[in-house]
Amino acid sequence: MTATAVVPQFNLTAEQRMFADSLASALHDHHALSDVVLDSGDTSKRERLHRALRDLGLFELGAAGARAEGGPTVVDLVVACGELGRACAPVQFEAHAAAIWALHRWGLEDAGSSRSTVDVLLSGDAMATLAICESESWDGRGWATELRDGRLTGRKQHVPTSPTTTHAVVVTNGGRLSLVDLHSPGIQIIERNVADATRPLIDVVFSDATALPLLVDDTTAGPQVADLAALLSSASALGAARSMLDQAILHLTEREQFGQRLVTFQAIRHQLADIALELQPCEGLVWYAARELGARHEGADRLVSMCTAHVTDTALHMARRLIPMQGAIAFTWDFGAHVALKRIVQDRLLYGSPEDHRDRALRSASWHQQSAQLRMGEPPA
Amino acid sequence: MSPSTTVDPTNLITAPHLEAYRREVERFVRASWTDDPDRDPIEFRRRAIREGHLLRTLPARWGGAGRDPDYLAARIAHSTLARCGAPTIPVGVGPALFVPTVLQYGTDEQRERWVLPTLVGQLTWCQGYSEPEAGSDLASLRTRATRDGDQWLLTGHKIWSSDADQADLMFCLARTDPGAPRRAGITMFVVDLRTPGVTVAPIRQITGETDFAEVFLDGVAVPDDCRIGEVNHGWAVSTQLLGIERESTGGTLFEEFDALLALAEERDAASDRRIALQLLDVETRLLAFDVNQARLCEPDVPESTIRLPQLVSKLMSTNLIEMMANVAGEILGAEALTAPEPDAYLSVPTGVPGWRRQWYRALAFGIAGGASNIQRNIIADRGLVLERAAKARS
Repeated sequence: MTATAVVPQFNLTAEQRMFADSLASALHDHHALSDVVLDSGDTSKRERLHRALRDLGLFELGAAGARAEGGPTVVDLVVACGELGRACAPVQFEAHAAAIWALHRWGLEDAGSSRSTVDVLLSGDAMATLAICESESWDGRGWATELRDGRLTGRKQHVPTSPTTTHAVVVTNGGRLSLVDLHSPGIQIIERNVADATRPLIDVVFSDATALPLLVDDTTAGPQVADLAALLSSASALGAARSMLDQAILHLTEREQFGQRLVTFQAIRHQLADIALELQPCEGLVWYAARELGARHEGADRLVSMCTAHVTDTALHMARRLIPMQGAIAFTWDFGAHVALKRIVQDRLLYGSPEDHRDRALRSASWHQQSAQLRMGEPPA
Repeated sequence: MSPSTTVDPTNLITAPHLEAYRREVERFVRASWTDDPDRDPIEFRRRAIREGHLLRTLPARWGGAGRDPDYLAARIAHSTLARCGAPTIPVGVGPALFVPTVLQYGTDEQRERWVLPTLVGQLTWCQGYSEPEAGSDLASLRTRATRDGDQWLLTGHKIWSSDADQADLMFCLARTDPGAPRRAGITMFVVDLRTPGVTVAPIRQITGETDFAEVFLDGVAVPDDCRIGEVNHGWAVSTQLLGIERESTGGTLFEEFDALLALAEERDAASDRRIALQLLDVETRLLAFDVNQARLCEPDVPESTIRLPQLVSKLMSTNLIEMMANVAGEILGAEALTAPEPDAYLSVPTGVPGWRRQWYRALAFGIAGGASNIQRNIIADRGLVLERAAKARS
């Protein structure tokens, strides 16, 4: 019996911890919450941050995660998203990583002509994104965007973007994937007014636009990319919630009322303990789901849905508790708690709502299948 | 008894590489837990411990297999034994709390005397910590132990001692130096409950049962070889004890969830979306607990990365028990109007009567073994280091 592996299965490896530390350090050196709060319009800081992350090899990670033996590297991706979330970094990493993962997992039908494009995306000099949602739905059964003879027609919503985003992996009806240059003819970009100022979203209208199909005949390709993006987003949400907890501890340790530091009040300490109690187990759950998704184990999709629904809901509920706990200061714009809160809101909804994920997890629950087939969706008797 | 062949990533112990071990445990059970009416649970446990299917880390010197910690193996063995109806380690404070303590702080003679007999169920235990004026504030305890030659005389009043009316022995804390600061003058002793001067008075609980009791000690003679650890070092011995279990698989939590699903099926409750969502929530949190516990057992993991997972473990399991009881309460509906039947199950609640009792009994888990609010203090102070942070800034 050798259930104990040398490599940790449920904790991070030493290399993953080192990577997380390096990333946290680069984020600390090149990004501050105040940059987002004050929003001076100075783009040079973001460019420096982008270069620092590129030098760490961050933007290539999605390629590593797509390798068949790449189970642990999907864990690397969620570790990265956790740190980016913790820093509330203005980087569209989740969509980029999932798009790169898809490009490497399946490749393009016409690989030769587009190699340089993929190389540029890998280097991080340009960013890729994901276009999934249609008609406010992440459920593929309702998608109408169509790819025919290399031409794309339809409309995608809530597509993550950034100043350097050039290409999108688009999920079309039937769950297939294609790569599109967002600057090519037949494409209209509609900017959206988005709460999370660090990670803008757009709508994209395709009118007979040129698209390069990915070499995939598997109708589950789209849902698989969406699963990865959902899991990465839940890691980001968890990181953001933990940053709010850290910030609250700092504030409550400094601030005095009734002649005492707020953190000395048991009412405060118990609330913080309850929040840690909710957030802490999410960490291992996200790592484990990443490992299973990376290993492509059957049933990993249900696990991702359970994890995503639970983690993003938990992150949001804890974030909302943390703001009133700290008093009026936390409600101010300059305090910055809203930056993490808005990040969590986006992470929670961008690749399927918790409700969508729970429906899916229930549909495939072994203990629920029979009754699900009979009565799913009906109101309680 | 057929082996599981379905791999389900939402259930950690269905991973294919664990299948060989599951079969090994099943073969062991088939050979050792037969249909013979004279089969002996004590002897079965002794063999299971020796072969590492129970308490796999117990050193060979004390009757165990002396293997490395392996959470998944421990989970598989426990679940396989439970599924086959074979005995597991008895539930109670003896195996869970006293054995780890005596392994760490006891003498070899004490380990020889108490470890294996406790684990196989030959000796039963209760805990004598709380007193009428010392509940969560344990350091306020007043029970006195005074030296009398090569023995000690204990006088005091213990309370909330689970199973005291059935137990053979009690491990307890007593004040051995009344002049010392609160935590400094306390020592741990083992008291034979048949000793003259011991009176056990059962207390009736909200379930109508009498699982716990008051224990009155009136000049009870305790030999010095029943002292655990150094004189006046009982506080360190007892607080260490609360966080000792690293390979804890959460007792019967997983079997309890299976029993809850069975109740839902029996009552056709999972077709109610509200109930189905609650069951999904429990399933997800149970998985998170499982992963959390697995993290604690892995080798070469820095202590700092598992400190918080370790500290939240008890409260997570308490909350899961409470959540499951609440879901059962929803499923039971008007059945809750019926009075709970005492002793409606032994270890895992089954059917309507079992869950009707568990709905009340679950409340005890937020009190016993370190009340939930004490757990919150520990998480805040040691996990989030709030105490240190506040002091550093003042």
